[in-house]
Amino acid sequence: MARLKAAVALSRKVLKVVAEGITTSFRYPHFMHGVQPTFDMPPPATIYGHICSALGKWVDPAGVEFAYHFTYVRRVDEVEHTHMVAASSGKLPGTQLPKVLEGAVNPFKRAVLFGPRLVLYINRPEWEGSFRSPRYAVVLGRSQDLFTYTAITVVELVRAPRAYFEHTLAPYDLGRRIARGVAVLMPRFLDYSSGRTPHFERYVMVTRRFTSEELLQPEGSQGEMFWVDPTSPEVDGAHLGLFFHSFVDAPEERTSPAGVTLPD
Amino acid sequence: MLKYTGHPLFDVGAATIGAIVGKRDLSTITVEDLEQAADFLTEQYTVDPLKTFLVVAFPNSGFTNPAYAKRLDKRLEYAQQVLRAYGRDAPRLGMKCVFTGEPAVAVVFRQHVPLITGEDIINFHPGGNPGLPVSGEALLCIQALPLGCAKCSGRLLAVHSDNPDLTYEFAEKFLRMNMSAISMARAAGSTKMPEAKARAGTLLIDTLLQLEQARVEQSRGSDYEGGQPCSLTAYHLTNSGQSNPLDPRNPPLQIYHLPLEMMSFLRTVVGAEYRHEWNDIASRAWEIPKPRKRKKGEAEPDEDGGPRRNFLYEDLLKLPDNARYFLRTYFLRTAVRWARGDESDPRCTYSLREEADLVSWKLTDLFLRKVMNVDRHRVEQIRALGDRLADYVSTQNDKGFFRNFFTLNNYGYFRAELLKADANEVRRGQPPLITFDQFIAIFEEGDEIARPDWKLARDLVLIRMVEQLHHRGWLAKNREVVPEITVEAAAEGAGSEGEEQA
Repeated sequence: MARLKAAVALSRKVLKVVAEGITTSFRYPHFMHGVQPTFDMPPPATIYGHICSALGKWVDPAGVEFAYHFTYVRRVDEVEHTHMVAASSGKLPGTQLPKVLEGAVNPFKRAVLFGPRLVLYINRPEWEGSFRSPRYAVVLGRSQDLFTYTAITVVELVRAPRAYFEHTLAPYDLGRRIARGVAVLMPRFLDYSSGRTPHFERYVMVTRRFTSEELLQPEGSQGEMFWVDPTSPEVDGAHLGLFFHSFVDAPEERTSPAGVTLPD
Repeated sequence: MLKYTGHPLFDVGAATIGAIVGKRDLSTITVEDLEQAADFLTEQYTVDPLKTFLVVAFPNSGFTNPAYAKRLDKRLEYAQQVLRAYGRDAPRLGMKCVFTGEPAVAVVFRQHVPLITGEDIINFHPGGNPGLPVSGEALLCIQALPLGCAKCSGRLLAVHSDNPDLTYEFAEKFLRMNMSAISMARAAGSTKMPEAKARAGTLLIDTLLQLEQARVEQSRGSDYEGGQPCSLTAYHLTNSGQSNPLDPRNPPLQIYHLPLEMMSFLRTVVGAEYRHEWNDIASRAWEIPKPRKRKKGEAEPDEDGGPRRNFLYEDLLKLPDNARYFLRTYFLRTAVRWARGDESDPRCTYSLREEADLVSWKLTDLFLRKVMNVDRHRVEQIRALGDRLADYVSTQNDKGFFRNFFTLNNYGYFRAELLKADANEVRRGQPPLITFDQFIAIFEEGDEIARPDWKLARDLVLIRMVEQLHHRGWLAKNREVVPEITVEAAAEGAGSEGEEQA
């Protein structure tokens, strides 16, 4: 039924936010010591945190969908220090003050993306005001990775038989039809109501441009239509196609699994 | 009992368990299989050479703790804790495993899982609770990880793919390599586990090509290329406290990506249609062993090591970003300038004059389609122009045009040279060398406005032209007109174009 609804819809209004910064880094989960590599683009959990930061509250992730186009100028390594701390006891030297933490400074290398630019599409046009007056400091990645919103608009996406895709995260099942990019396991959602329990999902990171004509065609996929942003730059008569993702919904429950709808 | 999660360290460990018990399909693994794997790991990990080697993966663990060096009972006790925490009767902690989502039975630290934080460190953990909660199955899989990795440059090379078969095959192959190395070490009375001979990047590609070759042979001519698309990521890591995170020669972790397009390319080149050309190029890319000086009284140097590095394989890992350099070096046989003086680097001796037989348009065409995603129409136009120019050069014996086409780096001069030859050909009553549509499709964005990648297009035309002139025998007769050009490796941080005329 959900698919049918998506197939019928010819357009949809979404919030389009352009955010730019100087640096960012999206570390791999479970690699904590010595080196912290970065994903080439933000994991969904990072996007969820970013949205909540703008709104100033933990929003119900159910039904929220997003798509993005993310680029950066260059990847560099920087040397950082982590203050590795552990619980402690006793008194601070020379005082009667209780010592609660102690630790050491550890150098490590962090991969950093320089000149990041995010074009974020959210299926919540009503949040435009919140992004115009974000509740908390606008960051993406680490807390020191300050960003600026350079454009906030509501755009009407349309369906098109042709699209190009680039610099984006594709759903894993659809991504493999692209034959471009790298499969990655990314944190999809951190459940703050349950001790920040992480949920992971596989995606395909696509950095280079490909067109809808290049998608490997499974049976019955003729007549595929794609959500495109008509305000995006036009390339060979096509606009930027969008893969929409959910933070929590199961793939079969999504209204538009990848911005792509097969005819029912 | 087990299934792949997408996490590389868990998945490689799970594949290693599968390889130990001989089950490719993890869903068929039973508790008895886990017991068999735990027995096997207990037997291996508590004695040398693995006891020593495991410092790379699990420093300060019960397997490697120096205090337990002479206490087999302690090592066995520790093995019992970490290898047999699975099963229904294991006490639950009320938390979920971070890998599987199953009930956790233990909170683990750096001595149990590589590259996480040590005990008591509260950074990076929700609520300031140190460690990661894991299930017994996950703990067993992570402990099995080192045996499914190659020991390479003192680190572990773990290879993970979204294709479970490939993850399994790498783990299974590395397990066999490790067991052979363990046997050799024990036979020699050594406590040290031998290293893989090749560097990590070379070993990765070499092993991948071997596995893909085996698949092609198993498919017996069926449409193998139509198999499941997948990407591959390799993790070259050490968890040892000896590694310095700031030492570029020995970082704790290096990640190598082979995207879907690269995997598709490599799967295809091992097929019958391309194998011959590919192997010819690959065999000329092996490191040239440096002659080792023999000290007085020393026996003959050990020659069984062979070359450790294949430059083609290592450069594959820098693609697709480095595609133009790659094309010029390996397909157009252009020497690498910065490699001059390094006698072990075969690329400094590459020469189109001497190796025109290695130039293959077929392979280049595949590379353009699979890796660079060049428009099919443009590729066809380039091929057609290469054919036409080869015909012109050989019939008119226009050596000057060939040399200028090869060496001119100013687009205006290059364009004028092409148009001059075109006009000459038309004056002779022949069809034009290049049409307006071809010019636009290959070299220009607009009238006299060069495409940013016009030099790449020129190289591609050259590849086709050289191949055709070689087949016609013209190059063999006119070797002196082939200029010796060098190219800079963009990925090595040198100049952007980096060309010079010799």
